[in-house]
Amino acid sequence: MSVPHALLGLLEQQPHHGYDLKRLFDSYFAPDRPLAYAQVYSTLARMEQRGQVRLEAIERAEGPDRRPFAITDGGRAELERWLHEPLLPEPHLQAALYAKVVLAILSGRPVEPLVDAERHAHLERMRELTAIRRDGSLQVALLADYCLFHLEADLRWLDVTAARIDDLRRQILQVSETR
Amino acid sequence: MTFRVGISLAVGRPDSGTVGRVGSQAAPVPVVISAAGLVKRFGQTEALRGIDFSLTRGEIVAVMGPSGSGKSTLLHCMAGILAPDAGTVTFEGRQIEGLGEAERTRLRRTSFGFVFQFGQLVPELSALENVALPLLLNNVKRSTAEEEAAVWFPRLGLEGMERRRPGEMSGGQAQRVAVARALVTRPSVVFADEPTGSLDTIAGEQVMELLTAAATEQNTSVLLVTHEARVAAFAQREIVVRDGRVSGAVR
Amino acid sequence: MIRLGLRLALADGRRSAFSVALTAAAVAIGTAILLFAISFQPALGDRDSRQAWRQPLPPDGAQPRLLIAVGNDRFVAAGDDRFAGQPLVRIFLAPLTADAPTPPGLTRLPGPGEAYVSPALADLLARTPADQLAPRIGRVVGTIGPEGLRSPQELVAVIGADARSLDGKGAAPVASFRATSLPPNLPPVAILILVLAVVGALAPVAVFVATATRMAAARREQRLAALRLIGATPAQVSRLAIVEALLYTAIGAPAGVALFFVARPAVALIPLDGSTWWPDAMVPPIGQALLLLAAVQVVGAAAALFGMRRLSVSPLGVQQRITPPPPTAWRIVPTLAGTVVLLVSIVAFRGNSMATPEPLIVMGGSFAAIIGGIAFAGPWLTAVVGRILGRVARGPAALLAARRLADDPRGSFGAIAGVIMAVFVASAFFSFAAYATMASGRWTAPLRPGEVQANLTSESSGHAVASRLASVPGVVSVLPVPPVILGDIANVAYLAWVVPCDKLLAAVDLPGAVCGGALIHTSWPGGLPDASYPVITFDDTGNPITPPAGQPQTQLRADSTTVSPLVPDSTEQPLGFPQLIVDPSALGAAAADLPFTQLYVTTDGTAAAAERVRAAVQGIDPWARVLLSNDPVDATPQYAEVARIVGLGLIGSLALAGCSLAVATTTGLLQRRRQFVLLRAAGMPISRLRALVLLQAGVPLVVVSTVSAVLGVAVAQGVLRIAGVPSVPLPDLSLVAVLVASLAVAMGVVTATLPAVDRLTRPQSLRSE
Repeated sequence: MSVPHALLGLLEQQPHHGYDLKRLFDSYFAPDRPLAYAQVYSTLARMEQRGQVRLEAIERAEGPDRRPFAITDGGRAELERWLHEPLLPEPHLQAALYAKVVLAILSGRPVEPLVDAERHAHLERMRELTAIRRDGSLQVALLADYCLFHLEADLRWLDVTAARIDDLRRQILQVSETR
Repeated sequence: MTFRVGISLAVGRPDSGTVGRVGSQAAPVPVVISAAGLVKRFGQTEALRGIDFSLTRGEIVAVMGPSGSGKSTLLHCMAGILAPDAGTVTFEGRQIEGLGEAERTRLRRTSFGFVFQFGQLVPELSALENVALPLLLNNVKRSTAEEEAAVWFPRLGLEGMERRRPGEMSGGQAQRVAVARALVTRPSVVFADEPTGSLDTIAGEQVMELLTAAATEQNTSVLLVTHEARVAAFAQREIVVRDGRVSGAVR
Repeated sequence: MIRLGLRLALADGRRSAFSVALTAAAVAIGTAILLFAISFQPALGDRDSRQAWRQPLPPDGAQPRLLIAVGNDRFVAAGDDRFAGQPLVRIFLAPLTADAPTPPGLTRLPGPGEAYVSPALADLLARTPADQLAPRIGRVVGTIGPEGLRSPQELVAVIGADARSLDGKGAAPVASFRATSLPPNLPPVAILILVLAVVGALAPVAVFVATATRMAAARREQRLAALRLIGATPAQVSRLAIVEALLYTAIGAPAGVALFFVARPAVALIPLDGSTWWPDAMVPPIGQALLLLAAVQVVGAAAALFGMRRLSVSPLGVQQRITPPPPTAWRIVPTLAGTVVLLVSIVAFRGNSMATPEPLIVMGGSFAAIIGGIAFAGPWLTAVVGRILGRVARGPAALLAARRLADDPRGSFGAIAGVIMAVFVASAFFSFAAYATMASGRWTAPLRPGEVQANLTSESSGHAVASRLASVPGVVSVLPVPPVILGDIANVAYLAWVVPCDKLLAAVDLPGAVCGGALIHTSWPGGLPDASYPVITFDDTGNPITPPAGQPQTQLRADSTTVSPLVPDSTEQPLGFPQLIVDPSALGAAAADLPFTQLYVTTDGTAAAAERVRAAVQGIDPWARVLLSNDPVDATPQYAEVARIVGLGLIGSLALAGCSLAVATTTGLLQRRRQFVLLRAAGMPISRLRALVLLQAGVPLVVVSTVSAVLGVAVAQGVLRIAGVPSVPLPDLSLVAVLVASLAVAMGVVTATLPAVDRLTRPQSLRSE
């Protein structure tokens, strides 16, 4: 789960206060494991250093937590890069994949190309593993099988998600409306 | 990707997947069969809505997609089992979609091989006779046909089982016999429709190993329809068919 | 439970409705045939009671009141009296007292010259020109009611006469009429053949029923096995199976009753023992009929239970595709045993009149065992054929057919079983029929086309008939043949006719007869034929011979130039013909005065002319026997009738067998449908698939039929020889022709299923995966 990129995605819509960001992140991405405030602010600080976010003009001089954060052009570029670059296939990617799908929906980007690119990358990796397994020893084969099964699980999830895009879209946009 | 056990497997994009990629080698590999603008309707349903696809010589391609997406229909149209409503299928430079039934049957018998999910072996023939059957259908003498078929059995890992019937074998063994039958005539293209669909993991792997290795040896192209990713992983590339169209990127 | 069973049975929609209809049809046909079988006895009894009055009852001490002369006496033999090829029965009655009894169906006795006719004969008289039929009957004064007629189609005339004219004609005096007739005149061997024929004809029906049932059984077993797997008890499953079976029988049995009534008028037209039947007389006894219908339901239920046996033992019994053990050679035992029992029983029952059921049951039963044994041994033979074909097969179609035959001999044979049994029965009955035709003593007068032979009862009417005939339209010439006794100086006597030889041979077609041959002097076997014939001396010396004492004679002379043998190479007299011919010129004017009773009339060849001749002759001499060139005469016509019934039964059997073949072939192919679809998708051409279908049916058909035919001929020959038949005819090439034709028809049936096969196995149908 890439927290910085998720925050960037939320900020792309509009500037938010830190408190709001945490609330949004929790409701979209981690309802059962809320983010700690400290983590939010430290992440934002790091991102500010990298020039991906900036603090907006102060509304009232009431302390740092009252200032909204906004995304910069650098931040937009980083978000774009992250969204379109397929993740390295590895087990337990669901959360990151899920984040990508949700953000794509929120921003109105098409989800299918994302899913297709992910699938393609997975299959590439699976092909490599299949070749490795064929030529290697039994130990190697068993390890390769382990990877293959997990990759297949990912792909199955991708297929299910792709099949349910419309429903997912409706639900996510509902949440954003009742925000 | 690293494993806790400490063995590291290669990361990234090694060269093992480059075979058959158009444009990445010095000599372009010839296209053996291709489809352009394939459309096929069944009553009100449009199973194929304009598919472009090509297969080069010796290439192994997986056709994936959800059920009802039209991938089997694509296979049937390209193999000459069905005539498309629009579009062309070109095999070795010759357009075949408009040929008559007798001519397409002859083509399937001499230039194509088929592996189906189940039910293709004749239960009352022995395994040897099943493998020899396509040769017999091509008017090869019976003794010659059986000799050529017999050569396959050690390769299949089924030495000594030539006289057994399909009903006396496991599903995996029977599918291996089916693969041999598909390849015995040294076809240009093998069409496989869910060849591992009724098999367990290990049996399925054995069948796919055999199919891909034997096809590569004979430089036979393989069009493999499957919904399983691990089976598609035996191919060199995949295309995804969704709602009668090719979706996703890639040649 | 019943509703569930019905829903399951009809679950497949159109296809299951078709198979239910087919099985019900099979049950209906079988029921109808059995109903006819049990109606036979009542029909026979009814017909006998209608004809009883024609069989003279000896007065036995009572005062005779009526003379009755029926057509089967020596003057007008049964089947001899015809009009246009149809039998015509003329019964002459002459009252002896004032209170002479009236036959049933008549309002009064006809007076001399009057006649009561059957409705069919009345119709015929109305349609026929007056000079062709009416003179033989007389003046029609009424129609005979049904109580007196054997069948609605009978041509019967009850003709009045006075007692004097019946004198010497073999008329019997009776006091009253019989109420019940004498036992039917069926020779024992004919009865045996008939019984065996019924057994043989039922076999293809049974096969048809079994085939139709099996068509539905496979799917039913799968359905019910699925139920067993989810926990239905064997009892519940059995009940469902019975419901389905009862569906067929509950529809089929009443349909069979309806079919019986629909087919009855047609079946009533099949003649036995000289006449057809009143349809209304063919009524099965109510008790037996109800018992039969109940038995059909019970048999159907029992068959279903028997089929469910496997399921009750293990619900997986159907799922496992284990090849059952191949049939062994021991399977030929029942056929052999049945043959032995049959032959032994024929010896044991030799001389039996076949009036009691026991011998018929034993022999019918053993014949049934032989036929059933063929069905039992068939799969073994089919498997052997498959193995042999598998070794010599060169192409894929032959190989596939061979392996299929060896792998599933029961199913493969089941399709052709009906045909094989019909072939066996046909071959057996070919010998029987050949014997029957021979035994019926069929004889055709050796007349050339257009010739008519008239045999008068007395010489007195000879000249009147001859001159009457000369003026009948269509008559070209009239040739009387007066017989004479020819004696030579050695007092050897011959029978001779005085007639120009060339004219005689123009009228008759006698093998070996020529004119002008040299004479052979042999003695007349058995003495003088008829002392009332004129005697002629035959002598160059002119010395008269002495006729036998007390016999009238007319002395005439002849010499060797005018006398010649009729058939030079024979020392015997050909049947109905004399040894010698005397040219009339040798006798001069006296030749015209010679009395005669036989004439040959040359007509213009039309049927009308022939009937006019017959009417003219019988108009003057009602008892004259008139033979046309194409009227066959059966001494014992019952044999010919039995042969005809058997022939009809065989045609019906073959038709049913053909239906079984079509159904079974299609069913078998449907079961392997996916396999064929995939084979065609992989490139197998339609021509090979068609070849496969034809070979799979054709090879065992030809081989097993041949075996079956040989067996049939052997059994028939054995039966006839052991039954003491004096000379058993061997079947000739016509049997081969019939068998080849039957096999061709069977293969034609299979070929007719090919278009359906093509359509059902189109690779395009892969889509429904």
